[in-house]
Amino acid sequence: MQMPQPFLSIRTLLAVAAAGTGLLGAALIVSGAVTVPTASAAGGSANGVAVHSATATLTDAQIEAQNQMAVNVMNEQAMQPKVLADGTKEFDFTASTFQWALYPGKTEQAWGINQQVPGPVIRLTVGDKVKFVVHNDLPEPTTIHWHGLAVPNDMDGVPDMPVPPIPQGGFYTYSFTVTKQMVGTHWYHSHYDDDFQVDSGMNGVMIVDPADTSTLPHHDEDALFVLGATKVDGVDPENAFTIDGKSYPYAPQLTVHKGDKVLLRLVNTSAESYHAMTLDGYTLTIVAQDGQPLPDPEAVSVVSIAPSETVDVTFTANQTGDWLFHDTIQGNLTNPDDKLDTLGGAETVIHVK
Amino acid sequence: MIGVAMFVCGVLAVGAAFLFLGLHLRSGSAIWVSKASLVTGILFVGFALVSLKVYPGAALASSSVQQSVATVSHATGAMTGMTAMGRSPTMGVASTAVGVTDASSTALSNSQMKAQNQMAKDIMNEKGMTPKVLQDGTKQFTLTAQPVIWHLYQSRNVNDWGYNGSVPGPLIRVKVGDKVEIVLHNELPEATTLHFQGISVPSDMDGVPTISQKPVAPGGSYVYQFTVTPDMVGTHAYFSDTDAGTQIDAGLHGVLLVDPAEGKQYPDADVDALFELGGLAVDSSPSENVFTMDGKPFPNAPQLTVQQGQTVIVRLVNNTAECYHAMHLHGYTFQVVAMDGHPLAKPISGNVVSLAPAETIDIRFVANNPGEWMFHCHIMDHMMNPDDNVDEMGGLTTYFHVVANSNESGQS
Ligand SMILES: [Cu+2]
Ligand SMILES: [Cu+2]
Repeated sequence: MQMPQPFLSIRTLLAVAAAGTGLLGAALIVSGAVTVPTASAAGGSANGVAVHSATATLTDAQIEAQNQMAVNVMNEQAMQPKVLADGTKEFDFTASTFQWALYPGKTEQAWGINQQVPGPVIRLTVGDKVKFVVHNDLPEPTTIHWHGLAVPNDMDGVPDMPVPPIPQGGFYTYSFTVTKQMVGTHWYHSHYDDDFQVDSGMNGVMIVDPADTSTLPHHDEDALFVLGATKVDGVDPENAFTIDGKSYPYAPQLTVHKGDKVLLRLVNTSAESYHAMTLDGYTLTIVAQDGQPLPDPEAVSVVSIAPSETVDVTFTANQTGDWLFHDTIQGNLTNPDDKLDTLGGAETVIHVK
Repeated sequence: MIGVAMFVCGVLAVGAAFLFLGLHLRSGSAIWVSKASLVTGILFVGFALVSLKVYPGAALASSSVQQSVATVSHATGAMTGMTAMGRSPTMGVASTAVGVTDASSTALSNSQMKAQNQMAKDIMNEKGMTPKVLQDGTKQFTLTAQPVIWHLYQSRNVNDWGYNGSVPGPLIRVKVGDKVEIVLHNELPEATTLHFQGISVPSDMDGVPTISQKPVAPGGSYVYQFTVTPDMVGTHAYFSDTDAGTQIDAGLHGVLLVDPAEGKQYPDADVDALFELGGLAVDSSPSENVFTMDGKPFPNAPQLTVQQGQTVIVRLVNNTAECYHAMHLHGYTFQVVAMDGHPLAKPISGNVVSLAPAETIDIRFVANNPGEWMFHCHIMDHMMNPDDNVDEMGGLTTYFHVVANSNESGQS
């Protein structure tokens, strides 16, 4: 039985906190009746959007289905495009708000693409002609920026540079041809009100393969861990940390076999937070950054990933066991209302059988 | 944010006592510290750490440990109580104010604001300050540290501290073999020193107060002398090393660019541009909340225009006291060619580059994709100004305008 939860915008909370009254913030959360103050006394800028009631609770079956989506993201299960008569691959994106289960007992109001956080995995090949038809069912404008891809300027998704953002209820078709420059692990995200929208879920991963994959190094396992952050209950800075959209223990767990050569693609979609990932029991080798192969692969025990960076690492699974793959930034390892300080946030288990 | 609010309450509760501890830690000098204030200070630090633990990520950056340190050092900065025109000369009153105070929105005329925006463009274009050449050929640069009213954005003017009326300070551009003299005059109400990051100068030229030199008292001067050696070639930062967390963000920072004895560091570059990243706290924020490129947040940050096909070097300097930055260029893959002035044997390709405080990184790209390309920090609260609406950009945001060639001759 969940009380109706008001959704506080970042800026509302900033304004409240700037007034130096953390208690007031708490009171507002409890009161359940929040309106966005206009031109707050504290000098913060209330923006008049993003007040939603997260009334619905998800059923266990719905939560189960969402957790399965995270497993599919980890397994790089890509969205199937519609193939047009001229061979163009067309992907339909609908940006909307929905309930998203983060960890046991916590459901947030997400803003995302096709009802999942992160959005669908997109897998492309050099030479593909692609079209993304993006419908905006969000309560404010949005755009999609193809981070790391040198697309034509009017496909770049920066509001008004030169294309206006997609209005509420509108759509825009992004189209481009996949070039060699785009090979590797990249991601896409909203570039409108991005501090808020990206952390609310308006992001996803694109993996671009070369036309000829025979020259690529062989991996027995190729897995994707999207390192996200979100501002639960409107708290800024980020207070919940996710892998493939889920905080531990909902984060998907990877199982590999002894001797497997494993490629992990790590993408930091957090608006503000760095992630520093380590795999207990193993040394990781960084083979690419931002989709670009490193001239000399680098062996490390901790992979530091700045916001918006992507890093590909490899390891050979030569030690059986259940190994924690986790952030070394301790603040990223607890879930917001976890009083016992148990496992949470950006961590999961890699099982080597 | 609640954590921050608790933090501020904590500052209020024990501020006066902690003031003495803060001063003591900062100056490193033998100021007498009462046991009571020491204990209270430690209690306060504990309280701050607890509030950070309860509300993880209450401060800005990466690890919780770093967060604690950063926030605590900021709090000590807060305790020095900046008020109008810098800070209160009397330290007896505890204040929760951090960072710089606002100046009147009408304190600067339009032409003064324009002149300041032009200073930012000159920094971007790497226009060095003209030195006085002494009889023996020594190049003498005079930097006067003084209060300056600095225009940020819209109607926001602040009471900054700068060198020669500029934030960042003038670009100091020298070449290998130069004998250099930098004369620092202190017209601030507190002591200061100058530190040159990443170059080996004699110890007494290193600017660390009480260790390498006596701090330069208000009204005093100090002369930094060194000869430019080949290992100094590249992009470096300079900044105040006294009360650094506060003085740097108040505006006492700049760039030192060292050219080879002959020619250019990057002979194949058609364009060589400098973006110095700064940060400061306004509105009594406990952490930096305005971010600048060459002294100005977007939309006043300088924008770079290049021709299609040109080879472009962009030098990045993180002169923010507390924050990392993750700079991202749209529309391109670039190469990281140097770090802290040192060339990389094998350039690393990417589209995001992370800079720790005081780090410098040079990137290179060939401008073969025409258009207006955003160049910004991907830490998203660094790309807005405190008064922004959701649809506005600010802070560490600018554009690279790549002008299409009518013929493709420039394409390499
Ligand atoms: Cu991006
Ligand atoms: Cu961007």
